[in-house]
Amino acid sequence: MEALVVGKPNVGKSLFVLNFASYLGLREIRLEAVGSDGRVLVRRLSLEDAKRKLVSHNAHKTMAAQGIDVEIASGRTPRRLTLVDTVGISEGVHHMAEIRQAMASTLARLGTADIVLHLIDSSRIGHKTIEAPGAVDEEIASYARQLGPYIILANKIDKPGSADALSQLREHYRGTAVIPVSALTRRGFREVKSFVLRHMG
Amino acid sequence: MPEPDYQPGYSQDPMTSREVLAWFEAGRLPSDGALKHLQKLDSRITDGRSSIRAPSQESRRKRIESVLHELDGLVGLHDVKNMVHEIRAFVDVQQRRLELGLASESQTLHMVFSGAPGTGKTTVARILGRLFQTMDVLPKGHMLEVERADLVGEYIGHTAQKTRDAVKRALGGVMFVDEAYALARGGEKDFGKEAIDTLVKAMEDHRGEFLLILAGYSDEMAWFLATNPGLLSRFPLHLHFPDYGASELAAIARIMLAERQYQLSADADRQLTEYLVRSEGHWRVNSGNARLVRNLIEGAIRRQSVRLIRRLDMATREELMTLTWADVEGGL
Repeated sequence: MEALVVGKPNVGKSLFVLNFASYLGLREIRLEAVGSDGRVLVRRLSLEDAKRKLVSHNAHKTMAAQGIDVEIASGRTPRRLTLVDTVGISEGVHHMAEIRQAMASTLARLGTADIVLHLIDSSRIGHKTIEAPGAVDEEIASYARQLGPYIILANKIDKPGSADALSQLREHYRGTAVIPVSALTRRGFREVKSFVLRHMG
Repeated sequence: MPEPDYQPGYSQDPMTSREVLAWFEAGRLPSDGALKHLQKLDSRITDGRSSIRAPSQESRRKRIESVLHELDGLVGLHDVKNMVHEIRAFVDVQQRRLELGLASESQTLHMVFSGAPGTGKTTVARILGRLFQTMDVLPKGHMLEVERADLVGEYIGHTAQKTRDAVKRALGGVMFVDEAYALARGGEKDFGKEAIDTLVKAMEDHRGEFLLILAGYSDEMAWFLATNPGLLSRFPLHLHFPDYGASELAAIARIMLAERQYQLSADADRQLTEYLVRSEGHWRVNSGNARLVRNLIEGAIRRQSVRLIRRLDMATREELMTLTWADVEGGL
């Protein structure tokens, strides 16, 4: 089962994937990165090291889709979930060919994912920064909701003024579940886990 | 920021998803445009649009077949498999009758699973959930596994609330009550009875919205159904999960080993089969069936490790994968 975490650059996808994996009980991260040239690299990192390596305040830190395998205990038999961190999709045409290529790999994976978790930065509604919600989010929503299990995660809900933003998002994406989460403080992870579990065979 | 190499000469749309990605990489499509085209070209969606209800008949049939194929892949369980195939045919025919305006049987498909532990009850329940989802009988098809402690409360009035909450979470899918006979075990004053009554009421209130499966050991389940006269008639389907025979246990062992990337040496395979045949019918009651095999294998894997640890550097890939009869025998 593969859960794809998508969204614009710098909305917190990598931090969400790492913290959510640790919430599900993972202690050590075995990273499988598929580079744009098709090579598979495997690395072992502690969670802290992984955060230092993979998360940054600047956009486009993640340059290749990265999968993390987690086993979720539910009932008697543990079930395996692959959380896939992806390259953020920016608006318009990016000027660097390398980044366009990386983003294309994300778009390609959308077509095969079992579950899509769409992160939106709820603290940047109406802003002009790179992580602010925009046309790309609209298109991801309209595409992914037809593919299968799909939810919107309103991230960075720990920032001030986000309660307002949450109701705006809920209004805007009516018909899709919007869960307030904070990748930093782990708020909302319980709801995300139960959503994922419900949609695993 | 340099100007992207956008070429206005291309006016027609990309024809395949691959083309969309290539155009996107070349900077000829903005992100939102690429997503729009991908959505238009995705076969999973366009398939769905061609018929009124979501998936076309053809792809629906294929998905049902793939779920049934998974069921048929389980070792043994012939009666259970036959029953599931019967249910599938029944549901399909009733749906077709409904479409043609004929009277259709209401579909109460609540079930009782009886059998020793490790005979595949949970596995089959999970597959049923998925089957009914692909057949549009249940909207979600997930499985909620509960036991007595999840349904019975601590004080008067608590039980009904707790049971109703559990039912609510199971709506749209399967509610699997493991060791269900425990609900009736406490006697007259026990809250377990209240849980049963609430479940029975929920079956009426949410008719067709969820599938209730009561599971447990054969003898205890027979006693349980006898304690409450209304219960038997409300569960039209009884599936019995027989204990596995020797050859089936051996087949299960081979599948489990293959999943773990191990194999039995030819000698070990022969001796294990012989041993299982010899002791067929002499197992303790509820000895564990598939679970017994799993414990046996896990023990053998541990003993193999002990055997290899002294010369680990010299061990070949073949040796690391192979379990000998000595490894297996130690656990018998």
